Amino acid sequence: MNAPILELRGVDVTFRRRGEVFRALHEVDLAIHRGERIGIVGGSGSGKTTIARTLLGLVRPSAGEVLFRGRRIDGLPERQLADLRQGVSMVFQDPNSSLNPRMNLRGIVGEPLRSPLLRARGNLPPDTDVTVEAVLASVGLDAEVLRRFPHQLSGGQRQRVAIARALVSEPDVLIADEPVSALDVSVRAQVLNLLSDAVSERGLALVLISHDLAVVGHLCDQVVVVERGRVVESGPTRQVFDDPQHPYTHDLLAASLPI
Amino acid sequence: MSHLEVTDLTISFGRRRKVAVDHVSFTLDKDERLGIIGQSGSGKSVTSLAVIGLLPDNAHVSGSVRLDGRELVGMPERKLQDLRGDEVSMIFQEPMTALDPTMKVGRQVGEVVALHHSERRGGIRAEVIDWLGRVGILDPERIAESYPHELSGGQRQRALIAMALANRPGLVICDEPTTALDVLVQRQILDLLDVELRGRAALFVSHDLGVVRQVCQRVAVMLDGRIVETGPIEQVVAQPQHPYTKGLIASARIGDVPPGQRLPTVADFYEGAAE
Repeated sequence: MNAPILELRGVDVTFRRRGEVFRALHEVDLAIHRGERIGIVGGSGSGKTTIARTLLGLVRPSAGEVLFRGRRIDGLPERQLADLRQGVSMVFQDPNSSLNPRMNLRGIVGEPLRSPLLRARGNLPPDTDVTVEAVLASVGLDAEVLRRFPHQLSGGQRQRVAIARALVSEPDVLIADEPVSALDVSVRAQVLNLLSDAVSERGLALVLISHDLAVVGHLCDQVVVVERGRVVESGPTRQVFDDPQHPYTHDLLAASLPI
Repeated sequence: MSHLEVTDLTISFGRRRKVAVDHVSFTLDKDERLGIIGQSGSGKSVTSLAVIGLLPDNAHVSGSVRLDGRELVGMPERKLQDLRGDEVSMIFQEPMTALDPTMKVGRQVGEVVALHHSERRGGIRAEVIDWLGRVGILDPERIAESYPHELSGGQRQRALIAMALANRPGLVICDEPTTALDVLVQRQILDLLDVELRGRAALFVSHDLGVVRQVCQRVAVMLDGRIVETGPIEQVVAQPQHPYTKGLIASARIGDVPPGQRLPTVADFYEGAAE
């Protein structure tokens, strides 16, 4: 198999809280290959989001290595992370807080294209109305929303905007942290369809963080189960869900409420 | 006579009288739980706020809400205050905003008791510790002395439930009580509610049919301010009648769709629903 795009090797992350050391991740290994879809599941506080932040170079591990396209990125200063910032995008849980309420959609979606850090690399699409309209169209939004502000959109539309912003720099990896858990059940299916289309059309790798196993089961071919900062089980999604080996995976599956 | 009788409840807001709830009627017996399902803007939360008398000043209300025979529509605020927290209480979605960040948890729970039952003042602390233990907080003495930010999401929601139940209200309104929680904690909180709501009337507002089904026997589906379908929840899930309900159920069955295939959406069944 070819080399992974994004990789964690034996990563430990520790935080200090009131002088006490808290280990958020213990020896986590994770490899994301081109076009692969990996789900990371676990309860609150299990370390799912810390994994995402470490992959993005936002958290510095206390041990282990983070590699992007084979190059170590942990501990590098922001100005040396242009490749990572262009190649790996993030969709956050709550579009109400991840979209700037004072910017219109043109400004929000085009913002990654105005980053001097990314521009210096030279191969970004131009920051024009045409680019932004095209990416908005790919998430099912008309050009007429270009001058609107986030508060003028519904929750589902806002999350579409967040996805459009993540796609605009033409990344190879999309990290989505609970992308539908702040949305109504009635809107989730639409946003999941969109995410699925965006990833397959562009051949992106997807890292989907979720506590909703049905969502991961539908979108991801691999799953990683995290409990208290440790990977307790991983493998092909179908296999793990049909025959869970770890009691924690069992508990997560039992807590799902299908109708 | 039912414990709660809502008849032709209509609520509009502001000078333009934008209608949020449109001739809604339902009843609730003394030990019955009704789920209200609907998306954002369907009027489900506004309906529940009307039942506890917490609508903002710019709301125009007509119709009737009778609790145990007393009319709540038009009741003066001072009288509503006597009912609220004592005979009707509410469990909100976001315990971080529903709790006062500057006050210790134990004092907040105790305040509800003190407000309505000054005669119980002497023994309130013991009562609070008792309630915190009863809602599944393992170390109630310590949690009572903690501030909300020191608690986990599940502990906060438990504290909020203790607060809502401390005066043994006849009617409890739950507004998306598990939406901010992960699946494991959600399961625990639903199990807890299932036990603690026994013998009380409850309104359970949610956008998630799977959650409501854990707690309620009956469900009403709201869309654009109206109840479009109501019935025993198992029957509604098995044989939804309204196209919107059909869409809601189909789109929630993510597990049934093979990976890679498009998920059905509400729009496939019902055109008018806003995203």
